[in-house]
Amino acid sequence: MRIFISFVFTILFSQILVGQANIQGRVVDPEGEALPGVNILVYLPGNNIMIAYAVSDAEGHFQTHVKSLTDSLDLELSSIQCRKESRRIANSSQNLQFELEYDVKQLDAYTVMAKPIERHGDTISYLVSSFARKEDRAIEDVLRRMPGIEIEPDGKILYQGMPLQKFYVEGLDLMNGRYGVISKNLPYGAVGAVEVLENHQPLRILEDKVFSQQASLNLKMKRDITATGTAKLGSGLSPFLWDANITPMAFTKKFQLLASYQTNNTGNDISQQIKMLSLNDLLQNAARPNENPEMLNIQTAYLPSIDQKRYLDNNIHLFNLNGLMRINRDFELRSNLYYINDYQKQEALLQRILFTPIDTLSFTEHLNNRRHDNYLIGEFTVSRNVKKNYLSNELKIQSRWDKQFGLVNTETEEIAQSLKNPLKSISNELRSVNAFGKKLIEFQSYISYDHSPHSLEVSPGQFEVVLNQNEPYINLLQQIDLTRFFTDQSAGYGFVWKRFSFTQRVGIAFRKQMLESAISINQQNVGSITGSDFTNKLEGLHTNAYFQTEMEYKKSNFTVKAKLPYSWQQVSLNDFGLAKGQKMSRFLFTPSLSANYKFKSFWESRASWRYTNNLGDIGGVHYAYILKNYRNLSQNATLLSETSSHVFLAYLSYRNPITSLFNTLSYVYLLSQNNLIYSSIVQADGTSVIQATVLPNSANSHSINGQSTKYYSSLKSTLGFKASYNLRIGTSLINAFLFNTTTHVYNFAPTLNIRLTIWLNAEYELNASYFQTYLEKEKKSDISMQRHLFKIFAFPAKKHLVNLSSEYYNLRGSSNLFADLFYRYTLTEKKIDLELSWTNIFNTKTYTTYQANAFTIYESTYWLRPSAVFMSVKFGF
Amino acid sequence: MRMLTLLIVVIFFPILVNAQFNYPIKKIESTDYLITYSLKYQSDSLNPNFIEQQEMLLFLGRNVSKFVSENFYIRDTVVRKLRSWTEFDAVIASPKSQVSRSVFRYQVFKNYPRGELTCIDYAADGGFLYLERLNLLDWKLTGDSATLYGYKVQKATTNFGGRSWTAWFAPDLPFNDGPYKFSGLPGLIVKISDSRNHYVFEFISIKKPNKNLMIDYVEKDYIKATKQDFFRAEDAFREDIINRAKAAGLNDELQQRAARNMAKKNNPIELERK
Repeated sequence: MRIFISFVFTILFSQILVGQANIQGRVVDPEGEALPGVNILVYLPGNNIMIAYAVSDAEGHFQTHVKSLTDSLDLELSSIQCRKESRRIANSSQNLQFELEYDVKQLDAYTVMAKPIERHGDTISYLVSSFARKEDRAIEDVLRRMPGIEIEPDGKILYQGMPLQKFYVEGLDLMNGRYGVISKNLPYGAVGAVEVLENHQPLRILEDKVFSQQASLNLKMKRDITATGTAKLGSGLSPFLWDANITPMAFTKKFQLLASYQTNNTGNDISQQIKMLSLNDLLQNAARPNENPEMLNIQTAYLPSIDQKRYLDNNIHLFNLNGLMRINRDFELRSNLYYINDYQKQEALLQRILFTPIDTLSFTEHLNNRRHDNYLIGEFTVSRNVKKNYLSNELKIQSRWDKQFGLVNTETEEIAQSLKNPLKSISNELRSVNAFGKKLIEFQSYISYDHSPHSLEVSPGQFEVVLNQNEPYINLLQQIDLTRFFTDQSAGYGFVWKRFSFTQRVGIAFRKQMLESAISINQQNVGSITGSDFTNKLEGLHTNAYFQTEMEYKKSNFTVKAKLPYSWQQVSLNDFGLAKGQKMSRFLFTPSLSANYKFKSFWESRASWRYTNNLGDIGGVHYAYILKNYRNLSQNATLLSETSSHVFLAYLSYRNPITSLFNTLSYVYLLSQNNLIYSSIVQADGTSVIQATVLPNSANSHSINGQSTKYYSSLKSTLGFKASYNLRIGTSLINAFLFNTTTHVYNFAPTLNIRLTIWLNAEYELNASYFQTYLEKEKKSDISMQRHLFKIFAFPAKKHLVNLSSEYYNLRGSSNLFADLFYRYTLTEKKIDLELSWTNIFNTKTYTTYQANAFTIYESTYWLRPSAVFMSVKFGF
Repeated sequence: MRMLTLLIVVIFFPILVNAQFNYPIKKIESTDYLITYSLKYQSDSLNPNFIEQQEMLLFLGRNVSKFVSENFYIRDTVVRKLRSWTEFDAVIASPKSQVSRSVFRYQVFKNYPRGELTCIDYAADGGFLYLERLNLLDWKLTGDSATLYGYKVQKATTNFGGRSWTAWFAPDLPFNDGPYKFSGLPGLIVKISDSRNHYVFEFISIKKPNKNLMIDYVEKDYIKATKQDFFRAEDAFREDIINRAKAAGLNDELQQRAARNMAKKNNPIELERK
């Protein structure tokens, strides 16, 4: 019996144990409308431990299961918009109805702790000491760690993903965009705080008018006067190699100075750092004459399209001094000085194959060139940045004493060329922004003047037939004296109306130049000046008045952009010696239109058309002959060239990031017309006389380009290919034969990229090209070329990098293998970086490249830098 | 050659001008309360010494909530103010700035549409939009209670995205929301962390916005996908970074460096990718 009772009890009890109360119901407001999102909390009576809960759904329904032994339960209903309600219920399954009353209660604002980084308006301040680590050296290392700041590998600093507008030290912009010199070299210990100025508008006149989405950065120094710097020293073999860089700097609130001395003979062309051209500069300065006229040259080879450090044999010294002074609250004076002295050696073998309708000519030249660049550049800027206007004036002075010397060995003779190409130039650019009522108008004024007295001496003398009655002679000297003056004044403004934005600019440019040239020959040490056919005394004038409008329309996936530039141009050329000249004026309209449409998620299409209409450069015409290089004697005694062209582009892309399939297809059609044709009279020794003749002619080309890549995640590999076809049809005039040329270029390049492990990846590329040249439907050449590229990158341990790249190429039957091994070890201890590298491990001597145009094929073999081992240390002071 | 370069620049210029504004703003409802969390996270699962911190914002409306990082919110606000292409010109100088960011770029909208969750996020160069069920979390109450940040809190646990999570919620803050995609507890989640402390969200403040602050988003042409497709795109970009960097025009060394940096971002909040 007892057993029975206990049995029954056990069953009953266990039923109670596993038994669940299913509590469900609905919550409504006084109007009977459902209340969603109300929390239903279930407590044990007299206890604050919640054992179950529910949240009411869109219809106000809720449901929860309660496992408990107690007789009753406490239910609490809470929600931000209703009064809290509590009810005690029996612990059993049931259906409940709740009606809650609305209650406008406010939760108190509450903050747990102060934010680690404090913000005052648009300025955020970071304390350097709280972000620095012991292995850091330059301020860049610390910046990298601050939230919102990123540093790209080239040193560009991004804030919230956008490039910085300005980089200031104590509110002063010393380096004008080249701030990498400071961020990479300034030891962090000198800096107290980093301020990020969000939405910074550096031009005070534009504040509140033009919104800036970019931030600027300001370094607050610890002391009023800071003097610091870094140094890098490196050395290697063989021959004896060096690479040194010492950068001292000093900062105060009113005056700042940064000097730098850099030198190397390791093939690193540090003079590139002076050239800092943005896309805008390139577009804006298109009308300006080339900085260096370079009318004369010595014979050089095409540079190979491999890393310059593999072949550049240099010896460069660069001094740079930057100073900035704040004159009073509004004015700043900045000067940047550069002095560069570079001595470069170049050796190459150049083979030219030239097709004419009657025969094929082949020439070989072995080049041995020396180039000595020696120049000084000074830039002086005064700027005034106040609320009422912005003004900046930059004066640039350049003086060059460049020299080049070249030795050419052909099959039959040795020719020495000596070129002196000095240049003195001065230019001034003024920019100001002024407010006229609510509109802002920008004025720009540019003036430049330069003088280049160049001379080219060639021995033995060339072009005997033309220059010396077919008699050989010792040497010839081509002298040129060119002075140019250019000015461009313009005003512009822009505005936005609905979905349109407009910019307009009106201006006038004027150019005047004087070209004097003469050829003298030396026969048995008797000098003589050649006749008037070889003497230019030419004055050129070019006036260009322009008005251009740019329009943009944008609606969700569709953008249209139109440019409508009108100009009136007048040119006049007058040769005082030959009493020849010409004058013309033209009204030109060069519109362009582009449209972009994005349809569906993965597709995008684009089309553009552009019509250009240009008068040739007045520097292109000269009535008498000029020896441009030892085998090119040219004359352009015709009308100024007038060219026009239509460019049509169509583009379609399908890019699907989910399947990692990316495809693009583009087509470009170019039709160009020219009133002149340049003709070559090629002589048996390879020298040529070039003349321009009036003969309207046209050329056109079609290019189709396709590209596709696909990533296979299961294989950790990317497979891709590129294919292109280009057809060019034109007219050429050689040795009095006028003929049509047709060139077909086919290119196919599959690639494979495999990521074997996280620290090892490999890449293979095959690049196969096929050229065909036709002269008047007759096939003249048929060339195929294959290059195989193979690269491996490995990071076996944290501080080691191994990079093997090799190239095998097959060119017109001959093949060549090239390999480069690079190993780097970085030791970061006691604030010193140590780097080791070994380049060109197989000591490969030469590298061959290949170019083809309408009727010429060039094969250039370039001598490379020998195998070298290099070590360097970097430290701060 | 100079002319040719110019020609190319002019023809291809529109490619660079592919920025995103003048898009309509989709307004959902106004914000009643703004909660700020601190997120401490370890983006490299192999390097426990490198912990990064960001502030995250939860906008609570009457029916819908929005969760974003503060960095994203600031940037989004700035970009929305841009009205013309000229204002954006400076940015196009850096076409590769589209590549990886340290900021979290996701926007999570809970109960939008009703009963679901909308997530907008970026992988590679595209914006994605995907939906998830809202109440898919199976919370377990543990009975542990404590006081955190001045609130009485209770502990609950769940599994989500391949991690097990511990949450502390405050019934005195009568919402049923929390950071990221976490919601459904009867009180605001004031702290939540995964078992390895790779992601730790902690309450910083609650405020009533003093001006009319909308829960909204920029209606771009997002790629509508499933969550799994989005993860596929995200993973492919990570793994295929060398080729993507190459396509963006970076040289060999920079491609390798991009891959090294990307390898350190190996610890997404949701580990379950399929």
